[in-house]
Amino acid sequence: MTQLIPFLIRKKWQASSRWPKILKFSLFTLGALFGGVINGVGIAAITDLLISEQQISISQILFVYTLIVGVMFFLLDIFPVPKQVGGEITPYYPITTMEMIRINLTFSFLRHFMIYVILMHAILTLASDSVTILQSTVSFLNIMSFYLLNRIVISSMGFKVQNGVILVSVGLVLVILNIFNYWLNHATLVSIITSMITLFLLFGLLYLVESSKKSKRISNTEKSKKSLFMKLLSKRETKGLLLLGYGFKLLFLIGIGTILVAKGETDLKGMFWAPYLLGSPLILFTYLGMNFFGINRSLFFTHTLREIDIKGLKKVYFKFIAPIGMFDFLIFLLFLKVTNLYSTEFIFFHITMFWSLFFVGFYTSVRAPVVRMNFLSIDFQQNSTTVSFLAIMTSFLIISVSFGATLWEYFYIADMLIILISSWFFFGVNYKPGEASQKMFAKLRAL
Amino acid sequence: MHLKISEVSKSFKKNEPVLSSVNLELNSGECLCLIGKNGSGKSTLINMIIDVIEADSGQVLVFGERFSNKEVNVKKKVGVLPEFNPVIDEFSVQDYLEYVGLIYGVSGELIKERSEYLMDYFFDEKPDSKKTIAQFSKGMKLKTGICAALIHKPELLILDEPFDGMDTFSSNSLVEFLNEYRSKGHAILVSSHDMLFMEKIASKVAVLKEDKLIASNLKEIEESGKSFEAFVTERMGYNPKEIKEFK
Repeated sequence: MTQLIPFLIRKKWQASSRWPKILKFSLFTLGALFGGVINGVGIAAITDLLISEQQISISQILFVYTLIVGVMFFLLDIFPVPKQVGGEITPYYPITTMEMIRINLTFSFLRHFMIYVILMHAILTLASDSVTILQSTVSFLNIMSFYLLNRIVISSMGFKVQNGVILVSVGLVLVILNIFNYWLNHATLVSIITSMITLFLLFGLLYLVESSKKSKRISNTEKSKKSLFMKLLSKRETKGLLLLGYGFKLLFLIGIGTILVAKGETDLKGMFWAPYLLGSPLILFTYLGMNFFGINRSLFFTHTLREIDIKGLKKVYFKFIAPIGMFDFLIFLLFLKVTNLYSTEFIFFHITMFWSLFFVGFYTSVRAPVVRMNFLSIDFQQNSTTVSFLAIMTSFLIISVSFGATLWEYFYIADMLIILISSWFFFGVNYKPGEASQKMFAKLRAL
Repeated sequence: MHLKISEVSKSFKKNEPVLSSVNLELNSGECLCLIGKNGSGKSTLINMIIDVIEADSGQVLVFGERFSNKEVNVKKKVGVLPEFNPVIDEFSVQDYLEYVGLIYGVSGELIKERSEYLMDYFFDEKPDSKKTIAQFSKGMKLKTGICAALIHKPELLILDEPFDGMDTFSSNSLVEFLNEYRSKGHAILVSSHDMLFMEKIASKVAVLKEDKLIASNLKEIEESGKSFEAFVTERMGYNPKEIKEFK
């Protein structure tokens, strides 16, 4: 067994020892080293500057920075496919739970991003006059929590882990509690440190337990009794897009929110655009709505082959996006509450944005579904270029119009008008599938 | 006793058992052939033996112990080719055999020696060490899986569908190897549909019909006066369907 880890490390290196891979590997290594040093020095300088100007506290800076790096870490290697390191350890191999944990830990730390984060924290601690070793360690541990969460998610995607979903939910609740603890209760640094360490230890424990389970996914002969929403949600691509959409959204909102709260801004004149844009469902629809029938292409083809109109597609789309939209709205409400930006205009604006993008997303997805394996991209190639571009431009146009309307006394009427027009287009107009999808029909029929 | 299965039951749905009160024994120098129709529960039974899935009730003992993570020494005595052949596509055949050998605690020199022997026997030509397993056909991958199951010279060898996807010549070679291996006192459990090859290796037969398992020895088959195939087919309850005109 002592020879197994060196063997796997050797193979991992050999796997990179072909020309393009060597180049890529070297670039990544250099990137991690330089990035770590430069960012460490940069963050140290910015931190010292902001502290000296008394604009923001050290814990606020570290909090935002930690969350941003943490979310990046969380999203980093979930997409597009979960990576297997070295090889799969099947359940009948004679490996004890402790040996399994040792292998997993070794490979978890042999990553470029890990080198980058460790180096950056070390440089930050050395270069900054304000950041102490304790604060830096807490920040590192928190980032590691995100990483462990990421490992749990990947593990639940590739392996049959019954309670994986529960673990992730528990983790997310803990993260949210931490945010609340900080913002609402104005918690002291000590309590944050305690909660971060608890969080880290908890995730660490869960990760070790989960990674030592070796039950391989086996075919499930049971008939699924899941609702349509759950069926669609259980698809890896859908989950991926949702995580990406929400991940970026949370990232932006947390950043903007922290700065607003730290500065004590309640008047939005200076920061008007950012919360509006980032709090809007734009990111959600950019990733999910406009790709919806691309990732659920079997559903799309089945419905359009059977039906002349697209009523079924509208129903499916509505059933999935509506609950997602409700959750999106809750996040936005939470953001408004935490930042004290709560106002009827904002809520009305969000609803208008949601409904108009709901229509734009549907139209784009039906006219030019992104029918290809790389599900994370909006198709700017082939015939759908115009449609995708149009959709994004329309979204920004709607935002601009609504923004203008907020300064306008007819704000509510303008919003209502947008909702009515979108509703009429969604419920009243019958579209035909776009050229891209018709080409796919032809291909499918030829098969 | 190498393997003892007592009163094992499994169902994936309520009131629809896949296996009910299955009993089975396998001793040194025996080759037990597990035969059954598609979906009869052969792989489920093997997966329960190797602890991939848990039995609802009953007990599976391998060398008198439960086949769990704690019993590493028991696991080291067992070689497995499961239904999901777990070869690693990114590795060459040589690398994969080394990987599995190291997991089973075989020394580097012995791994090399045994890999050479197994590759020489099972492959027509020695696989190119620069080629990854991903570039091989299904049959070649299967051969790699069989070699990996044998690399630590297990006392109990479990093969799930080893003839599936293998050409006739290779299947005959496998038959010869298994008979030779059994004669040295090792126990073998094989599941397959292929009665032609099963007949050549079996010292015991276990037929899965619906959720029940009926075990027989060769003497019983001889005494029945029927051929191996006829005996097994009857046990399986196979009724050939009448061919109607295909419109």
